[in-house]
Amino acid sequence: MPGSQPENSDVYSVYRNVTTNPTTVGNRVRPMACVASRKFDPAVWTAIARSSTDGRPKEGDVHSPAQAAIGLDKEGYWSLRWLHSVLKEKTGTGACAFRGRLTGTERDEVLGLYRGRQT
Amino acid sequence: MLSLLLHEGATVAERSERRSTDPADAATGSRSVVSGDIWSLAWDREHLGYVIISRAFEDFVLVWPASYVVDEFVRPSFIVEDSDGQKLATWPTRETGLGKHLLFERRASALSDGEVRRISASLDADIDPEVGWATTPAPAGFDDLLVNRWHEWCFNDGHTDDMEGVYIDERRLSACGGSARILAEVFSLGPADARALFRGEQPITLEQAQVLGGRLKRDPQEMLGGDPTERFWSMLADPEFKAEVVSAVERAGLTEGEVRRDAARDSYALAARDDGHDRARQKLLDALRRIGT
Repeated sequence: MPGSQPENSDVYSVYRNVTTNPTTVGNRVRPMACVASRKFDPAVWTAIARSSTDGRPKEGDVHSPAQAAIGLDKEGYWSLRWLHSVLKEKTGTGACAFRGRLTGTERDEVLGLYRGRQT
Repeated sequence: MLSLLLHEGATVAERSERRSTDPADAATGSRSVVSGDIWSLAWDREHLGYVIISRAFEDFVLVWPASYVVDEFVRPSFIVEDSDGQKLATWPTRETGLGKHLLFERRASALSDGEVRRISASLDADIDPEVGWATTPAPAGFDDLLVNRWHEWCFNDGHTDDMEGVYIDERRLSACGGSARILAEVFSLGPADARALFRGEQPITLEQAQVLGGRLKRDPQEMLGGDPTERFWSMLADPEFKAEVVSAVERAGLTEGEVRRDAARDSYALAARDDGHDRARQKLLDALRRIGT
């Protein structure tokens, strides 16, 4: 089923359900892109999150124009700072809804940022 | 089960005996963050767990979650022996970005930089890196708890809610005809509070910015800038300050976010424009040592 099996550059709106510390409360739903579907992990895939308020292009964050069609209402940045895991079991559900795919230069730059993280 | 992964109740004081035994660290007090090293994490005096550093950047790290608890040596972690001969499990497929402010103490080394790169590259290509994978399946609920907890730490930026808002840029406001005296008049403040707003030591709300813009007949955006204390806040995220931050938290009964905010603002208020790194570092240490005394 499209959207439940993430592929690189797929964009999801991921709901945060753990906000126990006041300092960690941020947006409850964040846009995230798949950068590794993780064959060797049965439970998770790797996501890079997008921020519309804390972009740091001088530190390598990738610019992302607003794209309302895939749920990206404001201009923002993709950053390795926000790399984390997303449960495969919840992918495609209301907690992790498929919104579309990155394309063109933005797709190449986001995947390049991730793949180049060790260099 | 899950005792260390969830880390509930353990304080940094109870965990801090597990620090690095590397003679180089003891001699130099080194806190440099290096790929392949094992660090403990802490926030608000709570021990959060262990990580292997997969890559260190200026302001943040990428890490692999890790655990010394044998009951947590479950798939898909692999088992590695650290430089002290202790076995630990680590989850390279669950790499997470964390702010450096969460790093507490370097404990030991586990892998070389080259090994970290090789394992990462293999997994990115869906090739088995041929490490010592754990064979025990994860128990029900383990993955959910691990992912949720690390998700929370990934998005812990260490800032307090009252750091949000907008900040006056002293030079831009002056160029618009503004001054501390006008701020005092518009917001009914005393001289010290007005000066703090003028220098950007405290944020203002967007509504206040609109009022000020109306008073000066200028677009509010022309007089605003970023948080000027952020330079000190970022410096303070370096783990070399963590022990002093934890001491201040214990002494003052504040949250860690409040201690970091206050130390950054205090250092900024006393900073000279030409302060270099060493002077700024000393001002941060002095500010931390004043908190709660």
